[in-house]
Amino acid sequence: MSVQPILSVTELKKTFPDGTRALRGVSLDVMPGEFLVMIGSSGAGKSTFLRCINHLFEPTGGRIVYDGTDISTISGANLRRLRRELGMIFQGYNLVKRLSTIENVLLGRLGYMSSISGALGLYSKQDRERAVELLIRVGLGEQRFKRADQLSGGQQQRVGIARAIAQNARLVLADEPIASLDPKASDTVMSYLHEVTREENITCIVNLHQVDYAKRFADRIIGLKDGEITFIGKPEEVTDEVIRDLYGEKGDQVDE
Amino acid sequence: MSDLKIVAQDLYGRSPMRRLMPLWWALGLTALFVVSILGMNLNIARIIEGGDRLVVMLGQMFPPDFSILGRIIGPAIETLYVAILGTFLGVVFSIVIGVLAAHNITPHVTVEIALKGFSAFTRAVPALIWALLFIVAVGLGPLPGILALAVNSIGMLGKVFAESIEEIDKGQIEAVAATGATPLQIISKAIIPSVTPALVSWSLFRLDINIRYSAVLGVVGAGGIGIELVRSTRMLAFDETLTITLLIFVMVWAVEYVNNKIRAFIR
Ligand SMILES: Nc1ncnc2c1ncn2[C@@H]1O[C@H](COP(=O)(O)OP(=O)(O)OP(=O)(O)O)[C@@H](O)[C@H]1O
Ligand SMILES: [Mg+2]
Repeated sequence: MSVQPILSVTELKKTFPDGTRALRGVSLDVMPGEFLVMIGSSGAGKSTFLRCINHLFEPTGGRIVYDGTDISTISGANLRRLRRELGMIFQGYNLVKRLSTIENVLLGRLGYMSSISGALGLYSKQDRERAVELLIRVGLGEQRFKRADQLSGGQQQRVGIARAIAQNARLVLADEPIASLDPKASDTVMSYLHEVTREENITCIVNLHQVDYAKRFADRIIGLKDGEITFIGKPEEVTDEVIRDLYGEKGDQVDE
Repeated sequence: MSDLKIVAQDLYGRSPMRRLMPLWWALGLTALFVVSILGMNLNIARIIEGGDRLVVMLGQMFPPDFSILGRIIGPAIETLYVAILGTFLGVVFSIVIGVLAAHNITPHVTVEIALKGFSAFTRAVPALIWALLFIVAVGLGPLPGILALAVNSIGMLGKVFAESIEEIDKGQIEAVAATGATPLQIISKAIIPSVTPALVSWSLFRLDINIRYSAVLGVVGAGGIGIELVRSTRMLAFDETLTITLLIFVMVWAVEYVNNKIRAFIR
């Protein structure tokens, strides 16, 4: 019995209005429960890829199938229903800074509520319990009534993780979640992200700059270069040559 | 000789004409002032005469007649109500306009242009003129005052609310949208919280302005204490005028005091 991919992308293309061809035909199958890491130099198209999946950017070509449904041109209420199953984690955390930590986690429930009750913040008791539970799991139970902008970067990103999980997301898209963090906080955030998504059996696509983290956590690594996939393989298959190809001659993954 | 000229320009970095800029401004403004005075047929004699009358009036102001307090307290409170209701209505409509007109979240650019144009118009027409227009439309009393202040407030608040929304970090909006939230939810959970400090302090600032306007609007018959002020001066009861002025001062000061307290609280 073969398992169906949770996400199947075929020949995905994205050309921005200014003519930039960020994705030139990306094809990729993502299996349920996979922890996938995408690496590639700055401008390779990693963010664009993730943002096309949840339609923060509109793809300009190709097919995206999620859980058996074609979502290439999804919009309106269908898009909102899709988005609640796709958690997104951002490099800049993107918490609503003036809301409390727990309120930020509860934002993950909006997609499941009526427009009005969500706008009024009438979260159910279960939702609140779940939010607290998730905050405890990412080590922030004590901070739940603190305002988001009073948390450190690493803590804010853990709230970002909790927000995505609170959505009951089945697929988490993480766009360079640790790019703005120091090594210690990076470790913590990556560990929590890995651990929580493993426990909840959530599929995860993570964009990373750091190859060492990619090798440490990934089930599979995707190498993206100039809008095309040039490498797919297990962490141990990522050789120095692969890195050199992806990041240029110097082989250094830190750009700019 | 030409060498010297170059040196002079290097030292000052501007031509002599440009360097004398302050002088041109001073001459220009003086000319404007003189022309204005001549245009009004003002002469020194009349100004001095006016000064004399002012002294007499000031003399008659003291002591202020506090016995009228009981009679003017009602209109004073009405002035306060007019200001508060006008501001409240203005704020509510301005939030809607701000949300619809902010470039980053407007449903359509034509909506943005139309609403920004509308608020520019309501801003350009002074509150007093709005009051006169509304008196024609709905008759004398506090209602035209409230409407005038509301409309005039929209001009300012609609603009600043839209601008505050435009300054919000786009990531916060995207993140909430990415959870599957509806536009209404995004507004209430990402946008409003982010602009609350700006919203509150601009609204309070506007209340400050409106309490002053509302005291004056009574002069044209749009409710409140202004009419009392006019009546007392017509009757040459300057001791009453002073009492009313003092009361207005206390009201304005009280509103400002409360505002500062609230503003310090909300950050
Ligand atoms: N909104 C946009 N308009 C025009 N071009 C864009 C836009 N967003 C991204 N691009 C371009 O698309 C290409 C891919 O960008 P993308 O952000 O996906 O790269 P990335 O791999 O995520 O890079 P980084 O590691 O720096 O985040 C780049 O050339 C970028 O300049
Ligand atoms: Mg990126």
